Amino acid sequence: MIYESIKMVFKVFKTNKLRTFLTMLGIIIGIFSITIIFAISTATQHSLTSQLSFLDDTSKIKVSITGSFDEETGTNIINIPSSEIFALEKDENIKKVDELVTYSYKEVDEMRQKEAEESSGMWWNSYQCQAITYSALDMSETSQLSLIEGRNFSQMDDINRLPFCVISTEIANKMLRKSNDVIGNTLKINNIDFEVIGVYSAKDTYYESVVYVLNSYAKYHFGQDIIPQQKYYQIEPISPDLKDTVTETVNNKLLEYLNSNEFFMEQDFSSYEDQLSSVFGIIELVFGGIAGLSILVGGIGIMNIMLVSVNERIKEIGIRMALGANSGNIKLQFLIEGIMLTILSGVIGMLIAMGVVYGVNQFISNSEFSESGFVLAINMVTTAKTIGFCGVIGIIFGIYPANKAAKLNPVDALRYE
Amino acid sequence: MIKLKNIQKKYVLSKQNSVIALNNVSLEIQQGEFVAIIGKSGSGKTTLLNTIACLDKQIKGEYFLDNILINKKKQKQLAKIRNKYFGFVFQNFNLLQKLTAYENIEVPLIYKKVPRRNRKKLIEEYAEKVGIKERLSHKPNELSGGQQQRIAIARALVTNPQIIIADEPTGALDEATGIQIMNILKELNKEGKTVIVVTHDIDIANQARRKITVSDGKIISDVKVGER
Ligand SMILES: Nc1ncnc2c1ncn2[C@@H]1O[C@H](COP(=O)(O)OP(=O)(O)OP(=O)(O)O)[C@@H](O)[C@H]1O
Ligand SMILES: [Mg+2]
Repeated sequence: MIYESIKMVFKVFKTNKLRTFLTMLGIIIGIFSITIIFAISTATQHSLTSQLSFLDDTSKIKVSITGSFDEETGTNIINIPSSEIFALEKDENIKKVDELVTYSYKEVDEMRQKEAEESSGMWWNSYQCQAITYSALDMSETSQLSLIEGRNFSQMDDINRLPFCVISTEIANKMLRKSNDVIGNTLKINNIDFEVIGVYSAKDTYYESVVYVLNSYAKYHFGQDIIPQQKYYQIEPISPDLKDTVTETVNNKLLEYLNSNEFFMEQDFSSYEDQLSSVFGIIELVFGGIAGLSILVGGIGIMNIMLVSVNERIKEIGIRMALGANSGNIKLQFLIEGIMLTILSGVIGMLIAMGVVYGVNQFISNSEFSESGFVLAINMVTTAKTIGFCGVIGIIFGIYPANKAAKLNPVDALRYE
Repeated sequence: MIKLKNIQKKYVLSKQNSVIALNNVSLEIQQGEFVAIIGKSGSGKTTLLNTIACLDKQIKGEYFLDNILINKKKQKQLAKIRNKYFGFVFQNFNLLQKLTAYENIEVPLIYKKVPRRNRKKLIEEYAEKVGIKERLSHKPNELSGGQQQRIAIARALVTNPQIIIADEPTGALDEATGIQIMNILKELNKEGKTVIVVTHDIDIANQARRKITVSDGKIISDVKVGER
């Protein structure tokens, strides 16, 4: 019965091709828009959160300590010894403490720099020299850095306090003007030679002008010239659920030594992520609502055309009733017509959307934006839901015309011309 | 088998204006009869036929078909009864234009819930019987009136009903074709089917073995003609 009804519906569509297409257009456009909106929204959201997560490792608590400014020396004095913060590792809830120290050292004058450049490679006079404990420099985890040449620090380097450094490609490029090989070359920082063991890429980020050295080395060899400018800690709880407890512990520890304005506990980005997704939720709701409205209008169009269809086919209904169709059969026939109209429209809209998504992705991957990580994707679950929604629209707007057809009296329907 | 008792059908057009299409009609038709219903236009022939065929439920009186009281039945049961007992042949054929001849004959089988694999044999059998087996893939508008009526007859027969209801089956056909169609109906009657034909044509009515004349919603004569 259902098979014959579907076959019949296709015959009806075939005899009224243009009318059927125009009726379906509203739903096609609606479904197309909804699909595209969700694809864009999820793609944008995804690429934004993935950018955020570069900066973010939500499992850790991040503290930066600037200390208090000392007018006499013109530098920051950090009152809390690193050992005190490392002592937190003994807390049962804390797994690991990592430290990153930024040193400032006295600026060298132009003359000395030039002299040094001529004599022995390069004099690096940036303020941005960060000393790091071995374990903190897991580059891929904490930042947007990725090692492209050489190697990272090892634990042995840290224990042996070796004068090694890891630099950015930007600094490496400057060095290359002097020599062909960056790895193994030396970089002078505060008159101390550091051997380059690794190069990372960090184009257009803060890290491109940073030189990493080992904290163990810097502490003992920079001497008086170099003063910690800022200390940055990452404290990792045993489990993510303990984050709040550990934050509390760390906060209390810091307050023993410092005023609250001398340190800054970084908010993690997960709250931004939440905000972001709620913003996108609103955007989806608004645009989805507009597209949904178009589906509603399309649905009304379908109801309208179905009523016309019922009227045109009164005679047919009469004949079918004479041949043994009951009103349930007639109702089913027209309901199937309504559902097929909407589901077919939904599928067509979806296919067009898929085509567009494929085209856009193809275009992006061939263009300069290919690295943006912006990829449109159609979620199959959403697709299934949307098609299901179309079916529901078909039932809602098909039920009235179907009932109207089913209620006809066979004699009257047969007499109808 | 068919038993009408004081059947009345009234069309109320407005408060003052109503048409009595059937006025206290009582009638019995036995299995295997060949009945012609004649009468002037507007006399109520079609209304009587539709009542017999269970197409109209808003009637007064009592109608028994095979001892089942029809006018108490729900539409769903009426549909089943129509499908089981009656085969319809109309003046203007009433084929479904979008369907092929084959699919037209298939329709009553669908509503009878005959499985698809069993339909083909039946359809071909009855198409053969009325002589249009070669035309099964054609749409109605590709066929002549006579061919269309044959398809309608095949469609009426395919469920093997006991009663054939024909409302002016030759009305839209030329004389020769009309005779062919009547011969098919007579043949069916010989095979044991009850045939009820409405007609204007006296010659055709004379071929029946019983002639019922209707006037103003009443049966004014009911004559049985002897075997010829
Ligand atoms: N739906 C209706 N509404 C109002 N009056 C109707 C309706 N159907 C039939 N009638 C009336 O009932 C009467 C009988 O009609 P019916 O169709 O049975 O006549 P008929 O004998 O078949 O005529 P014909 O030979 O022209 O087909 C007529 O007067 C007709 O006008
Ligand atoms: Mg009539």
